[in-house]
Amino acid sequence: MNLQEDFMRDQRRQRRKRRLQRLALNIAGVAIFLSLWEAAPRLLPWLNTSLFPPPSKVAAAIMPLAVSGELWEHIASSLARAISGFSIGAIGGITTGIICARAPWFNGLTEPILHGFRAVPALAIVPIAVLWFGIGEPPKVVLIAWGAFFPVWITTLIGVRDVNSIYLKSAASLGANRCDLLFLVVIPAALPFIFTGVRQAIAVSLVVLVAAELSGSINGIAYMMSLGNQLFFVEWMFIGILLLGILGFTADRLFVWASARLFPWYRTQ
Amino acid sequence: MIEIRDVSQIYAANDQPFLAVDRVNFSIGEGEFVCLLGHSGCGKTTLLHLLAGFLRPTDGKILIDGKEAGKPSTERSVVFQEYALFPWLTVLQNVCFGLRSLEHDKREREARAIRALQRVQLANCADRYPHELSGGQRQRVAVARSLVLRPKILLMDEPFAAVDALTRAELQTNLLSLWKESGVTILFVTHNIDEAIFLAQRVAVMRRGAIAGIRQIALRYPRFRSSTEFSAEYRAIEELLYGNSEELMEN
Repeated sequence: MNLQEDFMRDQRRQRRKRRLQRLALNIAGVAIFLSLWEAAPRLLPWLNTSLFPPPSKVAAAIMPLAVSGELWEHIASSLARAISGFSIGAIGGITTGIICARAPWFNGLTEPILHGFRAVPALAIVPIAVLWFGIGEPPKVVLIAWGAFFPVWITTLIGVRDVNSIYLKSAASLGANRCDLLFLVVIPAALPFIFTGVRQAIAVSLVVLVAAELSGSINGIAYMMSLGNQLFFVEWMFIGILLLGILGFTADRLFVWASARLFPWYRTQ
Repeated sequence: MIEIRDVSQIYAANDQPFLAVDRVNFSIGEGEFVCLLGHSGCGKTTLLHLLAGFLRPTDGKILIDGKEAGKPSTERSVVFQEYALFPWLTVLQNVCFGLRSLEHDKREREARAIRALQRVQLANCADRYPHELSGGQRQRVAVARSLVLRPKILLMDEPFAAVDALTRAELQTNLLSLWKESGVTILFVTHNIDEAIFLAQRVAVMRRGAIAGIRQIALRYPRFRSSTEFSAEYRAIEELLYGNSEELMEN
């Protein structure tokens, strides 16, 4: 008994040690990156710091923006657009994907159009959306939804279509009705596929968000960057890049964490 | 109780018609334990799928209690070889799944499911997910999930083929006691002669889509694999499986 407890304690200690080591390395990596960046203009005198501001100048530029509240306003409006567009696109994609996979006539009807539009890069739609809807909120949300829709639609379609037939047979012989079959069998079985689509859609949403804000807007992270460009506040563009990086990374991590939490069986599939 | 009359089943394989089941006539009595034995591709699984209602016979009729067997239903429950438990549901939710169409009250469903799990000694695993169980435990859950519905017929498609030999022997003994307790009719598909003799009252041997012969196993339960009677049955079934002794030598 004692031997087992000691063993387990040792295992835990080693795991904690590995985790801490990795965290330390991560932090060291960031520190090295920042110090190289900070040192660059001092080591290479020909570098123009107004075009390539070191982290200290960028950090100094964040302060007034944060204090005046402007920064949070930009972040909030970008987040609101990204989340609403992504949600509409993902829900639409899952729904359409399921219907396409389960109703062959609907699939046949929509296949050429959807595949055709899927092949068009979402960014190509931006000018038309601006022309039609102006520069208000709706075109941005629609554009993001458009971009998020296709990856989710196609992976859901494949996932639902290729559900292992043994699950369907099991469910049938267990007397499942159509509703149970869909929600308790088909969708959970297709979830791993749907998840890959959703993850892709998160990344696409961010791309389209930037494009939509750059094409005409009165707030948002990418708007702040284009303003920085026009007013020659180069730091603002760096702040924007930083924010977008944090946003994308956090969204992806959050998604992975949430799916592991909500679907404990999924990881070992 | 089950009557298979002149049933044939044709598949399209590489644009060629393939006769998977060839004019099979066979009947199974109530409460009987029958094994369907044969090589892979002999049509035994197809015949089981026809009985389950997953397929409609190309020709012929399948009658259950005099009525034509239609779509799959809870009175003909199927246990598959593997992966048949839903990995996204816990053991308890898996066993409850089939009860949804029979029992409205969720608490009553769970109580029945727990009783079914107790019968296979797995009530303590109710809240685990299938991937947390061993192969043998998973198969016991699959059997519990079927039996909880009190089906008339239990159709088993090589259910123990994926577990190790020791576990398989335990599962076979458990299955026999569940069969005696519940009085359910069992059709058990296997390619294992030993398993067929250990379990069945009758063994139907299939070759190339047709029934090559039926052997009544008169041994009393529990059966002993080391007994001379057991070996005699083994030899008799081998002969049915390979035609005659000359063919047997070649194989």
